[in-house]
Amino acid sequence: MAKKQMNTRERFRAVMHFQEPDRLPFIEYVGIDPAAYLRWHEEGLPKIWDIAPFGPNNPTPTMYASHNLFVAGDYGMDYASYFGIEPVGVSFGEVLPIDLGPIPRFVGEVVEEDDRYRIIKDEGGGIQKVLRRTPSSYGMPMYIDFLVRDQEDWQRVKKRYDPYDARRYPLAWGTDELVKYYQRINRPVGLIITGFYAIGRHLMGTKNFSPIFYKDPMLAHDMMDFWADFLVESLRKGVETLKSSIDYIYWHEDMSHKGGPIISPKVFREFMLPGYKKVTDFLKSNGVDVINMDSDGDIRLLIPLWIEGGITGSGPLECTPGLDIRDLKREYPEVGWIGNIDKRALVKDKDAIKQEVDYKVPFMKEAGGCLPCVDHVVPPDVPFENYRFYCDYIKKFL
Amino acid sequence: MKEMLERICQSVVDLEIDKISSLVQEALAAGIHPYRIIVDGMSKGMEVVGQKFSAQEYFLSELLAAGEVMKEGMEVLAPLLEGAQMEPIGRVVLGTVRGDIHDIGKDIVKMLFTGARFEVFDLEVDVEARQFVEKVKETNAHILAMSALLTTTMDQMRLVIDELKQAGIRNKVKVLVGGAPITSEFGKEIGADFAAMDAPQGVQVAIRWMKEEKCG
Repeated sequence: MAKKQMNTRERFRAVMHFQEPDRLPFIEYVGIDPAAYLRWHEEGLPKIWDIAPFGPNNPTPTMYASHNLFVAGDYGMDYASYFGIEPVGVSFGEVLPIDLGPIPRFVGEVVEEDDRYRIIKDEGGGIQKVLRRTPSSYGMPMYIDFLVRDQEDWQRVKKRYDPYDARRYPLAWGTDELVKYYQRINRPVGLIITGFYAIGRHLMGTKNFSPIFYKDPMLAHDMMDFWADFLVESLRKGVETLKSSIDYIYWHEDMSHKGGPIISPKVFREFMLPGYKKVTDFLKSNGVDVINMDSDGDIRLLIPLWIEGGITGSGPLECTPGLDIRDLKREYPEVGWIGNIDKRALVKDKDAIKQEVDYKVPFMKEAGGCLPCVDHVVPPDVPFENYRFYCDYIKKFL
Repeated sequence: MKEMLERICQSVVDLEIDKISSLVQEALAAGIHPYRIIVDGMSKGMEVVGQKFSAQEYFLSELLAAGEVMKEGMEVLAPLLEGAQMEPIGRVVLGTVRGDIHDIGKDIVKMLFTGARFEVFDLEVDVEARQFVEKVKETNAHILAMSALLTTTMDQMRLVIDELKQAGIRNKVKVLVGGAPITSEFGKEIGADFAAMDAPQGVQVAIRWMKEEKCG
């Protein structure tokens, strides 16, 4: 008997709950770099939107929720249709508009600029240097200064993170119409959470925050404890209203690099694990049971701790650090895995794409609980012809 | 004296940011020369930290914390070293390639090179090929270390190596490359001497080169 045809939401839910979907969805979980579209316009992609250079580069992580709607509207949706990409993930997916950023925002402004650079105060309060004339969101800006250097700064900044501030939700929140919308749409509903390492890095910078656990453990504990309470309380209204209509959590951390975790498992256990448990217990007690970690790099040493902390899935499983879905699935069959298609194969040629897809996608489909997609944003060095070929080829195996 | 230096070394390894200043002061009061405190105390500690990082006992947070310990110790020692000749073990020109403004990895490499007593000439980020080449010539550097975070900028490293060849100084300087997209294969393909998988590995290779006098 033919399988009942599912919509993207049903398909996504089935995979993430280790049930059988009608087929796997075709997704780009992290997205496509705007600079890739610019290149592809020159190589034959119809110009659906004017791709303008990003203003202040990279939204601060805490502002993803509100920023993301802008990205999807301006850069994503129509190109997604062109390639047949289904609406899942941080760029193309439906994301709840709950604002976890500082309120009020800081006033974003250009502090200084010349022909090549622009120094910007971003709306999250940081100072960053960006290259001008680049539409790329790929990578990060160079951060020059941060909001928090010590306890005193932290106490001041905390005041902008009032979880009960009414501005965290749209005015129409809680109306029957909006609840029905999220209950009935055929796209999975995601909720982006800024994680514990991500908020520390955002407020203090990688170089200042990473050693804080040794330099000022009291400050580190205070920040982590505060963030757990902030997340639970600011999300409470949304989570308790929508419950299992929230299909997944996109838990942004980026706490690893190519060589391994940025923070040690010991630091994670002492400073972050209690907060993870608090937030994931709250989510799960409300029926939100798909909690996906977003971290680049070599994540392997942290996976057991994430599982202990209530994380149920992870992506985009970058290949450069040596992550291979076959190994991950063997070791952690209970985790939902997303990504792991090597972007370098797309850069290379059609044979490399075939080899990568042949090796991984049938395995992922057979194993269950896996969503194959490119292992981060599709970068601008992927030729249009290659990407088009990839889209057509992978769909044969989904 | 030996015990005191070992204690300072251990303090770096144990990431005792709040204790190192008083230990260094005690060592100075006991008549130990600042140079010895650095070479036989703190730098040795950093070496152990690098080894622990390679063994995945320590991670980036511990590496950066060790850098903080070094900084605290050097704040006590630096004024005493002004004007004194402290022979570096080698000279390094360092920077992130053109089109790339990522500085975190580069700064960690710089911290480790400094801790290992290299003289570092940091060209910062978005560095053009000719700037690297000119600086290598100007400083007669033993090592050129380049960083890139993006697949779209890593090819700049190839340009730099080509310019070194054109300037006739390729065989006078060792080229070390690193960064998120960099693999050993890529390093070989562009003709680098070594592609480091992480910062401590790169610095350890550089130390080995200097010991084997393979540079210059």
